[in-house]
Amino acid sequence: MGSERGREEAEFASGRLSPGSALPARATEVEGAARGPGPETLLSLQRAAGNAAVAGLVERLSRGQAPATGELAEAAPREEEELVLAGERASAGAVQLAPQYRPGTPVGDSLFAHELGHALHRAAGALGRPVAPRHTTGEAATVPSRTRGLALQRCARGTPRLRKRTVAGPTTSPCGGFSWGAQWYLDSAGSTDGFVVQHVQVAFDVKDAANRPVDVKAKSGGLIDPAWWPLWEAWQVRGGNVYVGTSTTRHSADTYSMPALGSGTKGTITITGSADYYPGLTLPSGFTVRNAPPAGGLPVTNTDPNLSGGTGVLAHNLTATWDCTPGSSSTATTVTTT
Amino acid sequence: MDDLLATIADPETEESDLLDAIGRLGADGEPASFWRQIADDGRYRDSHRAYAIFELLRRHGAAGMTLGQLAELLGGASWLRDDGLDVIDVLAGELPVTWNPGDTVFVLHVVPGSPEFAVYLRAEGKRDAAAAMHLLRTGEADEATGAARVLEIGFASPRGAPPTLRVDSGGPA
Repeated sequence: MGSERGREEAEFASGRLSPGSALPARATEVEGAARGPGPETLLSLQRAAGNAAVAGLVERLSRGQAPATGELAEAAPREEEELVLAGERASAGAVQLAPQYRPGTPVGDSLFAHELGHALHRAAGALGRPVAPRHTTGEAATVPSRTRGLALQRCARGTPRLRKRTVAGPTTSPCGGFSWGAQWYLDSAGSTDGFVVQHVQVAFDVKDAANRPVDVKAKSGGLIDPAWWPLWEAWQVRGGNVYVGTSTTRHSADTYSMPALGSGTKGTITITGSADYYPGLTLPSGFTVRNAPPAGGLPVTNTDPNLSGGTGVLAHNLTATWDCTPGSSSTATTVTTT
Repeated sequence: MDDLLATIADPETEESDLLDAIGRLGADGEPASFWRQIADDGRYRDSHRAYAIFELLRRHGAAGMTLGQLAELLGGASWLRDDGLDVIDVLAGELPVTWNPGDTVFVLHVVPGSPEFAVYLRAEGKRDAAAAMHLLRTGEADEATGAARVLEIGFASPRGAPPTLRVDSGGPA
């Protein structure tokens, strides 16, 4: 029995769903940061302590000030999620992070990527390049302390934000066929519970060789019905993990896929998805599982649920274009995704 | 074990007790006919029959079996109505089985009027719904349909659907 199946079976048998298990923490030390940082040291420091630390070091070095030995000390998260480095707590030039912030842990790796972005942002600013706003709501970056030595800080713990990654395709077949799988995940997921809800609209602009509109439902033999859209579909998030609807099956891919409309047609199919994560949401009763196209096994509704409290809309769009009318040089389908 | 099977076989057993008994069953012991009889018996509630179909497939079926073998396991599937089998051709969402445009995803609606209960079969290659329906009901099929491998078996229910069976995740529980 595979481990994945074993886990799911255990969840099913126990009647509960376990949150994602954290990976074992690895101890992390940044050696030599106080001896004058090179690129690797800066990277390590950034990994261990955050953007402000790196920015502070760079700033001080640019003024000809070497950081004092012992300036870097044990860093520990405080209530505001600051990593504070105080000179009086210095010890041998090494930075130790609490286990949950160490590289190799989900939170640690996410933090590293996030804070590295800040460091690059600051570097760009120092070079006089345009600097975009760093944060939207809910997060804040702070400046290093110049009076207490080097202050290692990071922005407040992030609100869970919906992200996606392509996991299948996009693939195409001649005359309008396509398939694209994207997987949801949450930044700063923690152990959050809630729902991902996506609003999906589909626009069909399909014509025949004489530029007359094509009845998509009839042309597809009933396989595709434009009346299915707009719709709102939902994935439950439990313990920071995304599931297929409210089932015990882990989310794998939100898929946009349609069969080809065949020869004698041309045009464009545009799928516009707007997805958002709603922490703590109780799914409105209007959502039902139909186990049918196009939402498949997801709870779905065709009535706007008028949800609020999302943490940031994520676009999930696909456009398919083809020309399979006589005289066309190619029957290939072109797909663009965003 | 016998007490659990008795609870499951009682048509009056409440759904929560039924699911509890199913969850406490060991890995083996009862024959496939135990579940098939419940699935085919109109004295049981529709949901009770649906869970019996799930367990029949989960405990005695396996991803990788052929459609012909699956039909034999279901034993005629008297619960399968004329409109009880669909093919998923269009998707703007997600299924409990993997989506592969080169394969066929069948949905078996196991409870009339309650679309929340379903069994998903991902069959290798492109297969015809009418031929699959005929096979599941009669055991008869053209060679290609009967020999088509079922790569995944997924389940959907309002409560406690079992995890998907996949070729790479082993056989029967």
